[in-house]
Amino acid sequence: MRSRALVALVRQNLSRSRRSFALSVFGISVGIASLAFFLALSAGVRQVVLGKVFPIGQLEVVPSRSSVEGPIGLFSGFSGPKPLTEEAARTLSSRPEVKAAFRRVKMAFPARAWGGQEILGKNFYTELVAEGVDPAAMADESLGPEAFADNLGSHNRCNADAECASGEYCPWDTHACERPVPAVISPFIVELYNGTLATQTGLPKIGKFLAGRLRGIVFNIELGRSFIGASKSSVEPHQRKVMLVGISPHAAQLALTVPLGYVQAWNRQYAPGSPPLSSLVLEVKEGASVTSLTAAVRGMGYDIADSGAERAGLAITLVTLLFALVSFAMVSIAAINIAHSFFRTVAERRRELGVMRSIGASSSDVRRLVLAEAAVIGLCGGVIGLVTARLFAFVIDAASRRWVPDFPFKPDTYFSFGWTLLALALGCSILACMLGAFWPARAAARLEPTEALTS
Amino acid sequence: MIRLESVEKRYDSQPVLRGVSLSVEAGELLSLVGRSGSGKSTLLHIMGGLDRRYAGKASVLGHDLHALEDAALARFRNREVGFIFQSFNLLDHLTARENVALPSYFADAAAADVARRAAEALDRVGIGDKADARPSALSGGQKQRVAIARALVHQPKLLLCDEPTGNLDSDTGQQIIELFRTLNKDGLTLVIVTHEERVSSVASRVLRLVDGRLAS
Repeated sequence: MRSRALVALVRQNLSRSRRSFALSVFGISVGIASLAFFLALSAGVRQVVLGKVFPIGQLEVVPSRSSVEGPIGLFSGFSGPKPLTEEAARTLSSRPEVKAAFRRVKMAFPARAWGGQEILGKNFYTELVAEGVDPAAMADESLGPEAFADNLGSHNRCNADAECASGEYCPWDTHACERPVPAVISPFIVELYNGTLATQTGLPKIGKFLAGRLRGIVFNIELGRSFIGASKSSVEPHQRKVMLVGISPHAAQLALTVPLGYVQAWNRQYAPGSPPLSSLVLEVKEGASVTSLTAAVRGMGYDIADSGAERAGLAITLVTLLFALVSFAMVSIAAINIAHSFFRTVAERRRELGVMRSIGASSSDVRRLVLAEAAVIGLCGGVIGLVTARLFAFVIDAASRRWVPDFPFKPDTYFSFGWTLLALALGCSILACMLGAFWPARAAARLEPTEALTS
Repeated sequence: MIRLESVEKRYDSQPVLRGVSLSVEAGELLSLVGRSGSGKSTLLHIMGGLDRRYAGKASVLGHDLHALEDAALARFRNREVGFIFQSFNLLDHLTARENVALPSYFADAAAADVARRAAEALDRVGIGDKADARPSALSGGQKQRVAIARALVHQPKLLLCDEPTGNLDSDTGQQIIELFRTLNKDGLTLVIVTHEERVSSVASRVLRLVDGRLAS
């Protein structure tokens, strides 16, 4: 039987039993709507949590926390955590699973910062926690107005800012012109500020507009002295200017991120003997084995920092599974309903099927006819289910935008309707209907023409 | 054209056909008569490949019906024989034209051919003007003509008719009988199962079934 003939027969059969067709379509569409809704919700939440809150696809190698420290370590011959050396960093960077490696070093001495009057209306004072990050980590970021690079300026001798080139200033301790230290902050800090500090102190929240205005803002830092204490080194505290050049997910989560060279230079001055590297971020190649890389890291005596991504991912997967199971149960019930409906239809059309057999339909024609009707029900139910799920998602997003107060990482949408999900839901709908119709189709195909005609 | 050798058939343990042997030549108009339950319809179904659960040998148009696979048997029923039933067996949700076109859906025919053949078949049986009517809007005689058009749509060599006038009044039945005679004159072989003498009167040969056996 040609496809055109099959389509014509299916159309004729479905159009004469519209009520039954509509009921079957409704049943399957409810299941598919629920399945698509929950899968899209899970995918959307996963994107936010694992894309913004706990970025995945990268491992942060840190000195082992399991090394024996303190008096026991001293007496037992162990001397604390194994430091992350440049040689270890090179070895790990060259592993086949690694796409890129970025060194990080924490600022190992007290410091403080103040500024922000231009944008927040008053100066903001804080202890400074900073981390140096390999500028290559920000290579793909669109930052501005300064590049995120170790840029120490022209070093022209000066006594005042006016004697320096445009964009430079004159530090009172070195009397050599410098450009402000470029710095980035993580979206996490912005969300933390918006969710706590801004709410508690009445300061303006940093939205998309203010985030754009943050770029280029210059503030002051004082190295070697903080509100709590001073550096143990004998070096005098020095003041420097810092320019915020952007917000990046590659920045340290809870620290001001500046180019690696600055922190290394400052550590040598204010905290001599501090570890050369605090951590090494390894970006894993797509499809590469994270397990083998993790094993190699541990084999070298280092640990993987717990980013929370693993636990968050597991939690989302479990919730997704739970919702998917409920949705699959609904789809299965719809499939059973379709099976029941098709068994009834086949029984009702027994004589008609006999007529078809008597005029040339083979058993496979009859089977294809029943399955094609089920597939059309699945297709219609799938499309309606997807549209319903999309509408529900739209309403929930709109309600959230309007009525749900801002919270850290509040997304524009909680849902992600990717092409894979659409294809999966539609395929699932058609498959469920065809599975439901499989036994009735088989029974119809097995009907002996003479028995069907004399029934 | 048709060769049956020692055909036997049972429903459960009840014998319906008891060693029926017969042959039908091309161009014949054979009438199978007998009382209800004598096995006439069963024999017709065996000849048309609708029933394969029998013992003995049935060869129709050169095909050993036992040996044909399901798809080949379906092709045989589609292209080489036509069936006409007492209760017409039209599909109520289809128009006369769609009913007539139905066999073409299973014949890999092109859409244009399907429409043309259906129109020709309806014209041939004299109800071309009822092509768009549904069976519920047709009289008994018109329904039977639609059923005949459907049986003729692929120009079969053999027409198998099961009580074709059983549900018709005498005038309409007579018209249908005349139609069969015309078709036979055009070279079509017909086997008609009936218990009506007027149908048998136009047959070139009459065979009587009594309790599953041929009596003459």
